[in-house]
Amino acid sequence: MVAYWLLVVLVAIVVRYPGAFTHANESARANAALDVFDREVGGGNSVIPDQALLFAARGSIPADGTFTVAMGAPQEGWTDLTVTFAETFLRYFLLPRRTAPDARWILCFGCDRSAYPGAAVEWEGDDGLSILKRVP
Amino acid sequence: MTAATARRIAAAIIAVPLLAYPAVVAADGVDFPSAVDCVRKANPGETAPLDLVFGRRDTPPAANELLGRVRAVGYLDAEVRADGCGRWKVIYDGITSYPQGASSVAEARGAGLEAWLEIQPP
Amino acid sequence: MTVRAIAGLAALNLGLAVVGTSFLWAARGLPRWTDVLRLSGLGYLLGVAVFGVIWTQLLVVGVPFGGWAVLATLVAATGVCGAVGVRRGRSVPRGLVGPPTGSSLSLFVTASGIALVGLLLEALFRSARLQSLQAFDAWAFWVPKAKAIYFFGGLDEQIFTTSAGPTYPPIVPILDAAAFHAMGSVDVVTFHLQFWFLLAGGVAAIAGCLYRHVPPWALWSSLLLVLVVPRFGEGLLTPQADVLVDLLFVVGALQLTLWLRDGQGWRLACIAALFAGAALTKREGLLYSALALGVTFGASWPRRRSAWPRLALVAGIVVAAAIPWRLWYRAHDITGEAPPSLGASASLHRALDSLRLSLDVLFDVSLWSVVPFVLLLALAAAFVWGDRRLAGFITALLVLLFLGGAWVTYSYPGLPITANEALNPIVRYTGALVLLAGVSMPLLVGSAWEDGPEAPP
Repeated sequence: MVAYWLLVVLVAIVVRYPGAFTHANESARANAALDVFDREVGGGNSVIPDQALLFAARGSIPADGTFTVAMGAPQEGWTDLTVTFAETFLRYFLLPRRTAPDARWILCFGCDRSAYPGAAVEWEGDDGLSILKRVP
Repeated sequence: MTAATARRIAAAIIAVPLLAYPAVVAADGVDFPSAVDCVRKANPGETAPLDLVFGRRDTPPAANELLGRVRAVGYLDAEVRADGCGRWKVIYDGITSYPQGASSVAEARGAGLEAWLEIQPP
Repeated sequence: MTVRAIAGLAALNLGLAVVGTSFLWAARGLPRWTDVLRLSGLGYLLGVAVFGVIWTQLLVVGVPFGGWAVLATLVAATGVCGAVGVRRGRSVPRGLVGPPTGSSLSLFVTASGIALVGLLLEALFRSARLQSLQAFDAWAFWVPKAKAIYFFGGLDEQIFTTSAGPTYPPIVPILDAAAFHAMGSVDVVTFHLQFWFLLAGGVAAIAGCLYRHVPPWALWSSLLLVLVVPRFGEGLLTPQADVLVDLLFVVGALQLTLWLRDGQGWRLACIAALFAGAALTKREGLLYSALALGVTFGASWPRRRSAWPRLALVAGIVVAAAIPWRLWYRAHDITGEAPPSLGASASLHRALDSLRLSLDVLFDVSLWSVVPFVLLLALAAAFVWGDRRLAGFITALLVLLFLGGAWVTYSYPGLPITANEALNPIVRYTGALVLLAGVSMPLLVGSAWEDGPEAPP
């Protein structure tokens, strides 16, 4: 029975090992071929419609600043994950910047800008994305 | 077979594939991403959208200090942006063609600023 | 950027290995440098566990986390272990080559096993080095918690109380934050290599612990099989806590198994550290540890007078390590670690569905290949021809772990009866069972080989 155990295990290894090894190498190649921005954003590419928002937010909001996410109705170019998970992703990506309801910076996803009277548009992208800054 | 010979063979069984594999892979080139990856200098004749870049700094305050000097020269629409590789760059993104950009570079250098053209990030 | 980051990560993990190896030296002594090499993986995991347990307690009481604090902890922990070792009269390792063990064939089998495992780990290193952060749980809460520890120096109340999984213990975020300090920045690409180090260390720990106790063909074939099952592979590098809790628990359970065999006290020190680490890595770490210690109490009944006080001490250390974190989140009005009514209010129908789901997941070839099937073969061989007490212990542990997984599904009414990992953790939970199977099989078939009809002359 031990010999039979060893035979089954060895056959399984012979079947599985080449695939596992090849797959790891293919992943390595695919990862190396990624654009540096795509690699940094990672899973956020499936959530945030435009990467440029992320880098603009990083550049505009100071490290000790706060932001809030204002979500409007879904727009063309958004994914199924945008409305539900955009804020979660932004909280991760923009740390150490924190979220706060009264934050100076507003990451607007097709939001109603009239809700922020006097806020200046710091950055505007496609698909209804913009960064607003409240004047103190 | 002596114990010493067996040990040498065993060492070879381990060492040969573990050294050969990285060597084979490295022959294709090994990519070590660095901050330089986010510097995409534009070549003459470039048709992609371009930025006029005045410099990169490691922190936003340092970049803001450079921004102040750039705006003082007259580039009032210049701004600080993250470059995607952990640094902050001061740019002017109103460049519509390479010839216009080249001219802007010359003008900026004439005003005492460092400047060059880069392809806009996605 | 990444060369410096990789060098920093390597230095951090070397530091962890030094801490753990000095722990081992103090606990058991390391007579030869070959012993140091053989047990370096176990030393590394011990270092990870000890570092994580220490920093969990320090963060709970508000000690600021930073690069210099990490370095000071590594130095201090090594120093304390060194002082204990000196007091216990441990000698410095000497000599590179030990007495010859086994035949040339065994040596070649071992070398081939190391080469094949090493090649796979090298391929996984290449994949991890430039991996982007894709896993939802990783960017939803594991990495934000790590960033919070890195940027704010502690258990930031906003991040730790409002992120998903607020009761999840903090060892992985602590390790990630230490990795960020070692790399010099929040490099969420290169830090996937931290999980490669954990995997490589875990594999080395398993191999090193089993090396002298099982035939090499049994050890390396089992290890390779587990590494190449479909669900593992690159999934082992996902920056979450599942792999680490499985490794800490399984290596601890392996030490328990060996302790039952040889009674060597130093193993209990390792078990306490590893299980304490598991309890502070994921919530199920506490469940796994409790089940393993419970089975061990039963298995050591014949010598309970000497064994039970020691096991009780180990259990006490694990519980003592786990309590402060639980007090911290209770103090921040967070609840929900345990299921409502401990599942007592659910129906028999749900119980049967949960058992069926666990069984389906365990024997799913598309997840675990033939591992559960060859495990049954190994158990049968050990029961019939090998060490029946060992087989009984492993069987009891596996059965309880299996029932534990079914209980998790059963007792949380909100968990649907599905193998979809986004909705039910049963697949991740079963990973611990499969890894334990991979670690146990060499012992089981080894005992049948030594004592059975196919035993070598």
